[in-house]
Amino acid sequence: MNWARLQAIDRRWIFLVVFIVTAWPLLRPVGLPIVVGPPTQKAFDRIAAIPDGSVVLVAWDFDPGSQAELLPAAEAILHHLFRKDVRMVVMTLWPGAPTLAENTLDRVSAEYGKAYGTDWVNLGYKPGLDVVVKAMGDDLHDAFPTDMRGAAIGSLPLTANIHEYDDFDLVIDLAAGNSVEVFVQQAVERNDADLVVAVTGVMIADFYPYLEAGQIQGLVGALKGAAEYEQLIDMRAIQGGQAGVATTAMDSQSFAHLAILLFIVLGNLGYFLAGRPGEQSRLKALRDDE
Amino acid sequence: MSQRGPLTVAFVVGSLMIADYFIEWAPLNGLSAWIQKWYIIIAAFALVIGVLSLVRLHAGKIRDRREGWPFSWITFAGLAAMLATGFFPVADGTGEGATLLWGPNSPANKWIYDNVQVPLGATMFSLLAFFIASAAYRAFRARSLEATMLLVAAALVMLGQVPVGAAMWEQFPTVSQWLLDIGNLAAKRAILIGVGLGMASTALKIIFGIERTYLGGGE
Repeated sequence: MNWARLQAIDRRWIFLVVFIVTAWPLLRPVGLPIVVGPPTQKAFDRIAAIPDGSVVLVAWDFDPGSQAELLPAAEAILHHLFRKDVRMVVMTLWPGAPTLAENTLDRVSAEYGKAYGTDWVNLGYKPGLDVVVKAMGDDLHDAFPTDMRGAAIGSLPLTANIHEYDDFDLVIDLAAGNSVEVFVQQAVERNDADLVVAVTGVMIADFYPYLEAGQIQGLVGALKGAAEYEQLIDMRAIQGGQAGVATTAMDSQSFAHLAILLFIVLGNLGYFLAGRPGEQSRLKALRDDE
Repeated sequence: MSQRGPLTVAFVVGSLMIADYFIEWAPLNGLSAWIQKWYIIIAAFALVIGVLSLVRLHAGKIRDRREGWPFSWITFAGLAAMLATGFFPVADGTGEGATLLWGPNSPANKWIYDNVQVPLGATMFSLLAFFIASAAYRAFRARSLEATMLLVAAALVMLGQVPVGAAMWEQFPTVSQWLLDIGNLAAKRAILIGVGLGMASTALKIIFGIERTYLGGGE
């Protein structure tokens, strides 16, 4: 095998392999078993402990760019909450998020016969990040005088008597950015709120200190965490025998991970076996890629 | 002289915010809350400035015919479409039975969001998978002991975080979780503490006027 030449292989071949290993399991599902990890189990247990009929705050802090990773987790959590008759106040710190939240909540709430204004409210977007999160702790009605549809939140049955974090049993942050730290600082530390988060894959490792310290009660990590959560809430039963989106995608993610590991092994084999010519080919290919 | 005003404002407001955190006194806490409401209003204006800056940038590209200038017209078209359909609420009547024709959450605005912004946003993010695979092949090399340890740890976590890892060896998830719970946690905690101390130090330097780069034009 010409390892030196392999070091400079056109990256479109790599793209093709990734496309095939990702797309094939969607057409021919394998159904690999999913093992639930402790962070997701903690998130599930904390949400399961919410008394039926309570009110939670859902911070919808992701937009369409992150929906592939976070929307399955968001839907699984919404199913769990609606099944327990838990009512939701939804808000967001991301400008691209309110409509995504509205669309998803419209769809999922309809499956449970939940009504807007009584069972859930979307307060929409407010700029200011940590100032907004702190202001919600002072008085929610000051931070969000109206909901996303323009109605005064004092006129809505759900939010009329909700004023601060003590009125929520739990805060759930669905985060693709730095909102988790903000909620830990302002809601957890200043207002003793309980916090469960769902985050993207690149962020999971960042929040283990908070999980260990008890500042976060649970962590649903990316698509794998969503698949674990779907298993815990028995999404198949909810969807009439059909597996959840995250569970279905786990086969693709599994084979994509194997493909990337194979690429790393091949790349390193070529590095050690091809010697200097191989390294020169690799560096040239890197420059050409740019 | 021209810097004295902003430095004084930074000192007064910064000191007020610190005092608000530690002191429970209604007049102080009320003043702090009032200032933070103004922060939210100013942050909203920052969005407007962002849009104006975008318009200025792309208008310059079109005027000067810089590389990629036709795409600036597409940018303007998207901006105009979302503004036209979503800025001013217009209904076909008043009261509860009225249908929203234009404005935020109007059918036209939602259609553009659902059929253009959502798929485009998801597509842009999904490109990462291909470039990560390419980067893994081209750049991840066990050149040193540390790099080798990093690669081995990355491989173990990657296998432990997907079902195929558990199917290959039932201990992969356990090993992966141990790496995240122990090694990763220790390193992240150290970084968090360091960053926190750095942020506190920088904040104090800004409040006391030692750090002035936010004023522009150097110290």
